Amino acid sequence: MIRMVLAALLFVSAVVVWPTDAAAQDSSAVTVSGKGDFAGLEITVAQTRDLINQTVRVSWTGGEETGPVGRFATNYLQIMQCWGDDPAGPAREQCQFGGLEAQSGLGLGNFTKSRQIAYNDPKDPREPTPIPATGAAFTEFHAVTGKKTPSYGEFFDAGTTNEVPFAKTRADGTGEIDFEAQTALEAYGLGCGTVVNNTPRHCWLVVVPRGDKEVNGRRVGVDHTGNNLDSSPLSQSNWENRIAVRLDFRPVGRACPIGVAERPLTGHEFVADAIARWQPALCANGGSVFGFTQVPDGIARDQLGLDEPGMVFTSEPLASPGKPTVYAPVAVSGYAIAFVLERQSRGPEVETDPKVWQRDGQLITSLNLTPRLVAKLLTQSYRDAVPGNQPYLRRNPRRLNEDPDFLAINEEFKVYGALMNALDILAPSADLDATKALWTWINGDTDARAFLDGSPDPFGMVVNQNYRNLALPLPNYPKADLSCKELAFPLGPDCALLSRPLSADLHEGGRAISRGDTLGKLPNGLPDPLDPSKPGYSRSPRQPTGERSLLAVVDTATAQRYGLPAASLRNAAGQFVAPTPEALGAALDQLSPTEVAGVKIANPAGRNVRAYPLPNVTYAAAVPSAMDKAAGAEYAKFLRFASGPGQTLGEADGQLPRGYLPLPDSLRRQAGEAAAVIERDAGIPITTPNDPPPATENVVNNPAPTTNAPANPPQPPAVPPAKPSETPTPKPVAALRDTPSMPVSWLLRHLLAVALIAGGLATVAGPLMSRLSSRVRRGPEEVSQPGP
Amino acid sequence: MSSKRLLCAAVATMAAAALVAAPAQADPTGTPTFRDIVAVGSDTTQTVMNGLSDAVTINGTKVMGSYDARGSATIQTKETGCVIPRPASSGEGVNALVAAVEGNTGCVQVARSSSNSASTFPGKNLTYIPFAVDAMTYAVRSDSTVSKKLTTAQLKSIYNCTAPGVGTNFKPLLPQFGSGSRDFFLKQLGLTNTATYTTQFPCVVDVDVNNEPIQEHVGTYLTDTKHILPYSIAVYAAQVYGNAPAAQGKAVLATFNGVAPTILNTSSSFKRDVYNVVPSPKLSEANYNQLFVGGTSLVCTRTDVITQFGFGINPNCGSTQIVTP
Repeated sequence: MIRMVLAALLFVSAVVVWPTDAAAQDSSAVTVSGKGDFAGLEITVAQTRDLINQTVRVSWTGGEETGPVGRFATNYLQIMQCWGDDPAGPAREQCQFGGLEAQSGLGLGNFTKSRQIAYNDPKDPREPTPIPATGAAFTEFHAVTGKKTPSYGEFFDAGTTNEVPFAKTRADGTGEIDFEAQTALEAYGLGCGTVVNNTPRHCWLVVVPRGDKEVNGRRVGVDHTGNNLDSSPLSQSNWENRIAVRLDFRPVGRACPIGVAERPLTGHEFVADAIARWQPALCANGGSVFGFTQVPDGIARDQLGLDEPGMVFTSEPLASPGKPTVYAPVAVSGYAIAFVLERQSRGPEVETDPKVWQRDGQLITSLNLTPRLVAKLLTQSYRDAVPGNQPYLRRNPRRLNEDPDFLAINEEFKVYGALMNALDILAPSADLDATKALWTWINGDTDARAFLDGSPDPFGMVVNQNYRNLALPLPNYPKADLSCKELAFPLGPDCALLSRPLSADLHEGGRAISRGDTLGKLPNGLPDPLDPSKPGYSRSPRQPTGERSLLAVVDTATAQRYGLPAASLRNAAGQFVAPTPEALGAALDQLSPTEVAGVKIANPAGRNVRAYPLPNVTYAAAVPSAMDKAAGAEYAKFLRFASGPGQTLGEADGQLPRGYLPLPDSLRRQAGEAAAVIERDAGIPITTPNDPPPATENVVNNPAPTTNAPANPPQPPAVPPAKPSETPTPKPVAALRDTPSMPVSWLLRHLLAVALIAGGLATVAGPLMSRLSSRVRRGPEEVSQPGP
Repeated sequence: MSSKRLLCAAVATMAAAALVAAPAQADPTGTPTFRDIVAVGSDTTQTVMNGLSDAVTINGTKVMGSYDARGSATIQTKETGCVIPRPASSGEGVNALVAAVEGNTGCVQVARSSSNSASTFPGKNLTYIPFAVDAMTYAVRSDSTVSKKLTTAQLKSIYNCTAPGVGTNFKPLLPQFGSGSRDFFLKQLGLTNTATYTTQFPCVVDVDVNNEPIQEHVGTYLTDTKHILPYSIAVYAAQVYGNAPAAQGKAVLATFNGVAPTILNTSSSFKRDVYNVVPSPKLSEANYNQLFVGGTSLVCTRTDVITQFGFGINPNCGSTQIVTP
């Protein structure tokens, strides 16, 4: 009975989508058909306009089942992004494909994930490139910059590419993937969204459907020499079957004019996507330019003590400010555990009902997690989350999908979790106030706290001993178990932190799992190219679409951006609630007060049955006395925009991205009041130390009475302020996103963890650190040399 | 080198000597002792390459020297220096070739590879030249309780540990990581080959009872009637017909997907090209060119030797189009 209720709840949470989701994507959805052998194929691209770096749902019907036996041997789609100004579509040289050539273990065929064309077998009669006497012929990559490279490598590689070499069609002829659209920032060889003649450059999504026939007309399993397709999608005969869909991007980089003084905005990642949308609307028609720098909450708060803090964004307020500080709510979102879990049953040999295994590969859209399950995932407590079968984990399930504690509330996984390998949650290395809220949610749950303190769960699973009695809450995700499994040289040790690392930030984590990427590295059996006496490592192969099982900590805007469903978390009232707009709204009604009036934070202990336990309210904070009048006016304008027109959900400039909950009226009013105070008090130096604090104004946080307080109501300053000290220092473009302090803080934490927790293990782990520190930089570290 | 492996090799050699007059030797014998073109690597193709090394001459001199994947811990491949650890698999063979090229040692000229692992060696500038066709199936003991008529889907469910009774009624074995046969076999099942495969799928083991890595195509690893082991049809044929040391033990090959495991059965489900791997810049050098490049090369024209060792004739023999990315 309880299960039925749960199932019903689950169903409800699964169908509630972000309200604008369908509307926004439908407005530019495009459906196209294949031709020739693929005339029955119909491909729908859910969004083709106003694209940023995000995923786009690509779904199809009328295909042939990938196989045989679920293998990528025949009948699959190959999907890539290309640039090209020709209205007829891109040339094959303009496509980002071949970057995964060096990933072993992905798909079948000699050239199917390569740019290599023109071979004797299978010989393509329509291929204009001559077959070389020796060696290989590759399709050049012609970058939008004008540069031509012989293959991949310079402009994209396995770490950056968004190509999907193998997309699976199910037995009913349907399939779908969330394809990552890349702007010029992620794929500078394509330049999508770069402004040319005042118009952002458009690009193309290209699908090359593959059947069971090779380019020489021979059939796989009949008269083709191999038992799978071998040729590249770029081989002429395959390329002629391509289906291209135009993608229009939002402008990248130059949304705001260069060389104008910027008003700095500094703060946590939760508000990043919203600000990126607001910036171009604010600077339009000669408006103010606001530049945003992403930093952890704590660093943003510290900035309030600087001489010119500008405006900062955090979840929690500064407890004891040096100067009166004004707070304004500007964005509401949620802290979520996103997942990519695709149905993977035991397969046709074991599942007697074909209806079961024929759904293999479909995304699962709902997931229930208790605080204890999240604690297990975040403490490396599943046996395979740590390499080497550690004895202290021997009684634990190997993975989430084998944990009876999990299966009891996620029935579907009993069948469809059979082949999943969900071990942990990809978590950010950046400190976040929201992470404290998440740990508070865990800490407040009796079962979870008992588990962390060493009590086995009802099924006998125990916490990883390295986390026992973990003191909570924490603003980050410690990796306390750095165990390695020793493997014989040239295989190097397989180490926990290397194979299951942290992500740089929420966006990187969400983007990674949407591509099936753990961000991990595994020993590759080759000596390190830089020092052949040491073992080498390669990126773990991306999990193929249809066989992914990954989770990541993200904000709800990131989840929406990358097409990721978010887990339903059990709230303090015992209900599993997903971060839907309704549940976030309910959560706003039970926020906890802080020592600063008007600033409220997530209250995971709230008992509203409909409330999501981990909402996040982003507060803008400013110190009026530390800015001049002009700055005050502009920041006030920013707040009025952000809490006004900027709260309309939509894809256009100035609108609120999906994943945010538009501010309720009470918070908008609060933001409006704060804007008024900033405008009023800006540029007024604090001259009267003994004035009483101002009247009850719930947007201002005053320092302790011993410190200065502003005049209130504002008096004309005794000494007229000097000419506004606005120094129009030219700065580059308004930054959209940035490379914040991640590598440093990540490394620091790693060092600390090694020093404090691992103790003697440090000597073992030490030599690996330099390798690890390069992890967060996605770059051509794995593959440096392209083809010929 | 474990004593067990030595013993195993010794037993195998003795058995072979008892059975037939002269199976191909493990390491080059006769004159010249040291050869211009040294080949190391794969177990699968060691016997056929040993045979080709004996059969192929340039100007009357044997120029190829093929060193087995198993035997003494080290091998000496040239008259002076060049004492190197014996490469025990396709992957180790290519590693040794790469090391020789990058270190400019001249100790290794060719790697034997039983799979196209070019994607694993980006930037190494190697060419994978197919020269024969093999097919894989699985082997069980002659007294095994495991069906000898499994399908791909059934075999997949055993190797991903989902089949009912796996671990008790089925005990799947795999050759060590780095083995070309392991790579090929898992890929064909649609499973991802990593060094940590047996961690994710713990019903599968890639070490023997002494915790030593499992070598390719050695039937004596089948110590349990529930064991299943990937096996090369070509190697098995060479083993039972005395053209290779008899390492098959009690192994019998299965009729996989309904295709009988006969020699040269190119309708086998898991047929594969086998390769000699050479540094791409060497392709134009006379020795390499005459030996390996094109259908009329010395290796490709010795179809008699290739088939004698159980392999099929490769229509693309001598092709130089598979290169490292």
